Amino acid sequence: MACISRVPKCGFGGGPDPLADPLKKFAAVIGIIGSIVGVLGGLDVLKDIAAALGLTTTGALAGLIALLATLLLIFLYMLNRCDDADGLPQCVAGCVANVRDSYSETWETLFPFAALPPRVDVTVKSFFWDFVELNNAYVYCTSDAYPHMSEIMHCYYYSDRVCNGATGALVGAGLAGIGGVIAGAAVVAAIGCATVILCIIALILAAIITVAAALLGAFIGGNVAAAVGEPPPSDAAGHAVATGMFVTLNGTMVQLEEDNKANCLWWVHSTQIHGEIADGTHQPFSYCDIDEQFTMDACARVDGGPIL
Amino acid sequence: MKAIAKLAAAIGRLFEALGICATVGFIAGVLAGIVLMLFAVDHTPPPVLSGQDVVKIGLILAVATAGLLLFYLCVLCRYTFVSVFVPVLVNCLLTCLLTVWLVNATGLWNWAVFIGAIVGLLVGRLFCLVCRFTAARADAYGMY
Repeated sequence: MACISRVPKCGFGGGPDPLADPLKKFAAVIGIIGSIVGVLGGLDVLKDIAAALGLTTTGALAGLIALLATLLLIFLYMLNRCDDADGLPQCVAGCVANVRDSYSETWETLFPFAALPPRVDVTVKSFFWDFVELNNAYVYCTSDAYPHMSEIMHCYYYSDRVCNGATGALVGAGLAGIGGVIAGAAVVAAIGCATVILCIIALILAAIITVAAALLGAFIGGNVAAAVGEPPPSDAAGHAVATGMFVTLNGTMVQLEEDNKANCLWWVHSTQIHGEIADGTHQPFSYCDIDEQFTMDACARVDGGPIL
Repeated sequence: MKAIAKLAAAIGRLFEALGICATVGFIAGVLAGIVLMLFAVDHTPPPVLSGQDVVKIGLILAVATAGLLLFYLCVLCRYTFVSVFVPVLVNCLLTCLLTVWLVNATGLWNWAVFIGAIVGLLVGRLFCLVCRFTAARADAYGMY
């Protein structure tokens, strides 16, 4: 066992982002929609626009604004799940500590637009720690104590299933949301506007009904689109990546908002499997064992640093 | 398409600097402002609300915005309910009550969205400072 004296920088690199990424997305959506609606309202043209769109009640208008916000939010998720990120090309090597499938948690089924793509967690060789820690990133580590404590990189694989799920959710939300706007407007008309309080309650109800209908549509559309399964992350020959395998992964490295701003591969572009860790090796896997057993990875090295 | 994502990311980075309290306050304020503005669309000139109505409407909006935010924070952001319930409720309550009062007092119903946004940001920021101060004091007295 060849542990090194260096201590991994586990946890908060420069301090984890205290604001979860979905909340930032939500605030941005509210900011964009709020600005547009606010300016239109301030200029006193909102009523004219609503009339031009054929929206005769403010309930329908409230529903439409809620629907636009919901669709924009789902659209942002869809772009994120279907597109490659702008990042650094990076090669890492180590031992697979865990493989997480997409749709493995209940919330991913309920909100298919937010489902995460398949992820392979790699306990990297100590040589790659500089890259895991690059730019003061958050660092995931194993639960072992020093000196066996090791750094882990989360590596995501593009998934047609997740991308289709998000796209299906967007379509479903749009279709069901239109129904929700109509239903919301009907509810507002039924409640009426006899008092200020009733008016306010009716507007809120119209928005809630629309959002609920859009989310129901997203659930149905997303799950229908993601119904077809797909093989787990694998190498070019089709061998599935599994826990305990030594791998070399090439991909685009980004500080992923969804992962506490840790340096992650989003996406992995090529996978090479080099064998498995010896039976009986202590778990969670430590870089001490991995450095010793997995000497020849496929990351090229120039001047002591790995390149593609 | 990507331009919208980049715009959203840029706006998101602004909120990162402001922190979670100001972001929650902003969302609550804008949502409350949109409802008030929509109400005014149908009522020209908008009525002058009594003190009782201001409180009632503020409470209704606070419950609605807090409900939405708690749902979003707990389900999609995966915060624990216990950790966010009280701060979100208090933040929404103060933001919505102040927004309704200010809109009613100034009569600027058409600009309620922006009034709500500013009130929410200020209340949230203040809330963060108070929390930090009390946490620091508690820490100094060895309560944590």
